[in-house]
Amino acid sequence: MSISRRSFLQILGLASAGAALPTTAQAAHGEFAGYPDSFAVLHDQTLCVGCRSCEAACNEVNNLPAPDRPFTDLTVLDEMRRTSAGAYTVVNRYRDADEPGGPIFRKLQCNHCLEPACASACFVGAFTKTPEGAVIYNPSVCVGCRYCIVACPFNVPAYQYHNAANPVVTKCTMCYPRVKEGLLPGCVEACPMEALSFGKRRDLLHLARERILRHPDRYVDHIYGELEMGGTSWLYITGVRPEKVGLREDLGETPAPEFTSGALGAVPMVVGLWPVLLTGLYAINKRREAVQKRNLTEAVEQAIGETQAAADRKAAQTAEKFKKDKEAAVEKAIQKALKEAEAARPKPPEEDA
Amino acid sequence: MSTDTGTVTTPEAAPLPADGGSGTPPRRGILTPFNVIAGLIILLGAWLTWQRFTGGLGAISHLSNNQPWGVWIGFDLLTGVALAAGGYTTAAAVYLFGQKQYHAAVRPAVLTGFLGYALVVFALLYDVGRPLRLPYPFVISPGVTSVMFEVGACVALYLTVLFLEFSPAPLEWLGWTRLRNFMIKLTIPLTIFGVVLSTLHQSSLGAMFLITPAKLHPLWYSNYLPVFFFVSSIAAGMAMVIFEGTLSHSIFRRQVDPAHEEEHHAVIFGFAKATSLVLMGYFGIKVVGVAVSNNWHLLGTRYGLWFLLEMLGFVALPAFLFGVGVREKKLGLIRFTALLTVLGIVLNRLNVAIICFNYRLPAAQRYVPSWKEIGLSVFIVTVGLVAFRFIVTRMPILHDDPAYKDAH
Amino acid sequence: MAVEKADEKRQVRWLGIVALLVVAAVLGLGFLILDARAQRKPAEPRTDLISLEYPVTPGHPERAPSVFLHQPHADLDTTSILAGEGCRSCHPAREDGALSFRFMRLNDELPRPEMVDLYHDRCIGCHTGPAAQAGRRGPDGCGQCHVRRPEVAAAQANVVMDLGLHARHVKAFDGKCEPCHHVFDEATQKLVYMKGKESSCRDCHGATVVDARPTLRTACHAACVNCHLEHPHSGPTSCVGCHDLARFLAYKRPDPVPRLERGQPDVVLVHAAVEDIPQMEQPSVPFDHRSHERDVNTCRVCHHEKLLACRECHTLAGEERGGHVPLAVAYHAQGVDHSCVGCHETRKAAVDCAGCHSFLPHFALAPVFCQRCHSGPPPAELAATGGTMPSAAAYLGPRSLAPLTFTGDQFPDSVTIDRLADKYAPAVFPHRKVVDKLRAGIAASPLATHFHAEDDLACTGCHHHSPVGARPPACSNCHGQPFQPVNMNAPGLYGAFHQQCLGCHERMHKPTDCTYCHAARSDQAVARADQP
Repeated sequence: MSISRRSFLQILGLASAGAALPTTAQAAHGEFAGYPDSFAVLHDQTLCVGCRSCEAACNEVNNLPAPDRPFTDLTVLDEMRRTSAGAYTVVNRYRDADEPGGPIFRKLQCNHCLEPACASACFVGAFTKTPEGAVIYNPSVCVGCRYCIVACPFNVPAYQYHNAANPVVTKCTMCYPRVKEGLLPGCVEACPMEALSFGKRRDLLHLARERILRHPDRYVDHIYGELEMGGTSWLYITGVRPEKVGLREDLGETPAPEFTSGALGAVPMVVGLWPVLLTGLYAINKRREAVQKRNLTEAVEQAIGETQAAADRKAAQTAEKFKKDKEAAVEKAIQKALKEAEAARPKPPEEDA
Repeated sequence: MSTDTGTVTTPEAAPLPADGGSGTPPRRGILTPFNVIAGLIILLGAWLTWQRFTGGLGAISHLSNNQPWGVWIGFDLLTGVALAAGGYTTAAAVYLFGQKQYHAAVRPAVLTGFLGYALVVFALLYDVGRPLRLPYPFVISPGVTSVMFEVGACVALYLTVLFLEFSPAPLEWLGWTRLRNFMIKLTIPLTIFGVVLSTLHQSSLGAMFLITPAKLHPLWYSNYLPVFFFVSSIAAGMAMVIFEGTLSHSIFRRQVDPAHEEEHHAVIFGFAKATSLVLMGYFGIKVVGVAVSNNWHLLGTRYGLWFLLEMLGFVALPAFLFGVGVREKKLGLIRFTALLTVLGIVLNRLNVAIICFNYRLPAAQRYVPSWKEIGLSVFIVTVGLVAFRFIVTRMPILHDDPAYKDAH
Repeated sequence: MAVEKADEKRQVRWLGIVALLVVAAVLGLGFLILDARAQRKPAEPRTDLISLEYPVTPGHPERAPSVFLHQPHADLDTTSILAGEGCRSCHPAREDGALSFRFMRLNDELPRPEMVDLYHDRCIGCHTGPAAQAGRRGPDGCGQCHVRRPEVAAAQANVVMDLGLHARHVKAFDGKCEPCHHVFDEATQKLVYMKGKESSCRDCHGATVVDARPTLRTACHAACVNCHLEHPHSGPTSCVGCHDLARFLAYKRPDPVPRLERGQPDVVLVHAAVEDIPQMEQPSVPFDHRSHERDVNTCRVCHHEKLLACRECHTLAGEERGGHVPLAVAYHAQGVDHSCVGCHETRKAAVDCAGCHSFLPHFALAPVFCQRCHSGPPPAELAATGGTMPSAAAYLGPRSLAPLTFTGDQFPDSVTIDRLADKYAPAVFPHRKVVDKLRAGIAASPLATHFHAEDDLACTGCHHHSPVGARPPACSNCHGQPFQPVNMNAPGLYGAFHQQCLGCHERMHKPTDCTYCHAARSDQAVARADQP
């Protein structure tokens, strides 16, 4: 079956359209240092005393349902918790009171990455990194595929698995509406030890460095979130290694979108080149078939011709032979007839002579 | 034997399949074992559906905030798409690479592909939190930075392509000749389009996990994940053609005409050779993947042993056994090996999505699917099998419709 | 056909079984290896472990170091096994009777092949010869000594001859220094005793052999162990006797430790070298040497190994013999414990001091404190004396805390803090009690008394960043809204109260429960998690 010109043009058109698709796979090679004046939060883990005031304030500010155990119940700290559908933030105890050095605590919530994995992964663009620094979620487009939860390296977003009608993804919003009004996020305002500081990200980085310099014996010389996953808007300074308070140190500094930008960048190439290659293959095959067919026809014809010629020669030979035979037979018959005629002629009377 | 004269020949010229070529299956009792079991499973599925949509995802699954994707994604979606790859591989082999001797395998493969993808979409309706919003990425708010957007677009388009590729069969069954002839003319562009789309979404299903280096075990995570998924899908598709073809030819032998039966052997041996080659290539690039990330030391861990099991037992071994089977002309061995390959792909996709995902979590927090999740997957597969049986027993899939002798 | 099919089926089955067995074998082996690795216990620490090894050079691979446990060998009753007895079985004696603690040799001058042969012949010889005959066969296979993953690890603590132990030795030798302290006389090429030149062993003996000077280890073993062997029950003769830290620290030391008399002054004026006095800027420092001797466990802490006066090596500008450390840096360097300021900094971390001092930034040397030390005669006066320094004792600072001058309204007994009372009732702060407690802690420490002799300084622990006086500013004067860009380091009032009070309480191990300071008003009041 040959390809029609129309089909060929259709394919070309599709290929070029594919190459022109706005697959703006962000070439995010960690070059985005954040919006210039964006806010951030610095968590000084050495000041956290595990009072859970931040959890209570978050629950109140976001109108979340009351938890099973009240926020004054500190026995919940006996277990490691993570964020869940009703808890945008939790405080965990990472060292028990009876261990040397005493207990240590840390608050856990969305880190509002500069280049968030959730925003990159969401195929309906439900997440936005705002210029104010917060990463916010738009429930009105969310399809509930939960790829954002898969993608988040900090295991932060949660889902309402028991909501049949209107399930949404839940996570800390950095109290974006409050921040836009000039207020502080709920947890920051509530912390009695001011373990959470709110301000411009660059100012908080200076503050963190200053604190580490002033008290080198109190802090580990590292601001967690400055570079991790390309940088986050929730920074941590800790008194022990970050790994010991649940902050993974093996995440690297590559922002999440960069992991997939290569694969996405290859898509237009495939769309552009594959049709060409495959059409070419098909054309080559078609040509090969056609040539084969022609060779076959030629061979058959030649065979027929040769056979015909041989048959003709044979016929001519036979005809020739017949003719010769016939002539010979005629000749023989004449001779015989002559002989017979000769024999049959009456002999004249013998004469004496 | 078909001729390409394009003319209608008299029925006597080609032998008929046992059902007389009329397109209707012979009368049997309704309570066959298959019907009973399938019926029960469908009833179970209906109940689970009701539970799912009245109680939310948590009502029937063990999905959690740590493990948002479970068996429905790991098996129904990832494995389903990989195993349905026979559609594009067979069509490409026959129509683009000129391997006309495998022509008999095209329609079953396309049907398997079409049903496979349809079931994937069907499973998504259960897994996704708000299934009615599935068109949103394409019409309301595209998230073009997402690999999943690309997967969704390609799968939607490819399902359409498969439907169009499959459409001549029902059209022949319905007798709508003009439309059917038009669809036949689209075969080549549809095949090309199908290969392009398949390349994109098979590889992108692997690319979806590129964003999770912190959670996927280093032996399965690689920058080459898209390539791994794409190459293994080729092997999976061809093995599935062998496997499904073998099953169909024995279960639906009444539908098979002698021409298809004869070509079937060529298909089995030819595809076995090809799959063996692809599996060897896949093994090679997996070794490259380990070398490039310098993860040799991980092979001495428990996950390393699991990796070796997957690679040696389900990739290298089938590659070797296919070779043996082709050379010794052992159909039984090839069938066994095809099943082994299919299981290997299932294992690989489950490893990436579930078993080796969240490998850093303590064992108590790891995901174990609930019986209801597995039940729903079984239900989805059963629906597919019932649809497959309905189509194969009525439409010219395993035989040629005598009225359309140009079908190739 | 049927026969062929059956044949084929059988072959398929066999192939499958073999393949499965191979895979299972590989995996099973793998699990066994993994389990074995997991079972391996951590290495047992041994103080008597001596690792016999040569350094590995590229291109010359070596076997794993030999693991030699000294104690089991020392415990052997060798009379039945070897010719010599006790330590002499392996350690030959020198001319003067002292044992060499090298193995079967007096020094280390053997080249490598001979050294290796020595060990192999003697060790394996004994293991397979006399010891075996006595019924105790020792290891003779290569891998039995050269163990790649030994179950034991070396754990010798580095021990220090502290002043307490030194006092015991002084008593044992009746105050004589000659038995241990020597110097090498270049002229006679001999070790002689020179009075006044006694220094630490480490002055000459280090980690490596230099100019035929044995290492510290060789020298100490030769001197200490030989003497202990010569006089039974005078001291430890086994590895564990010294190198087990717990046991070493448990030896009785005199209490109080008598002063090590080496002609040092009781009080001394600290200044630069005489010729540098004209270049001095600050007044000299009267230094109570005698009372500081109680704060260190060896003289080396301040005087390094040479036990010399500071200015003999450290000049004003810094020279090579002083490690290029100028004199001022030697006294003021932070982060080390052999400078004045550095040692004082570490004392500030004590519980009684940390409440206030932990808030102060590191490296904060306020100029006001210079005069606390530099209270001696100025350089001009020193230069005028022409070499004879005045008595330092006259210049020493006060030894006791001056009484508080703030009285009455200037010094409230208690302060009610109610500015932010919300979930809790106002906090009633017992001002006088707290100040009295702090002052008691200061008075108990001579260091603190010296620096806080005047009453104003202790107030600045809480009343910070403001001039000292009778009416310090209210906290809310500076602490208002948090996170003001002009002063990001100042917490808001809410945070300031809690950081100041709770921070001090935490570091001074005082109660930190919320209700200790203010009663809860409602059940919504939160509690701290770090309370029992």
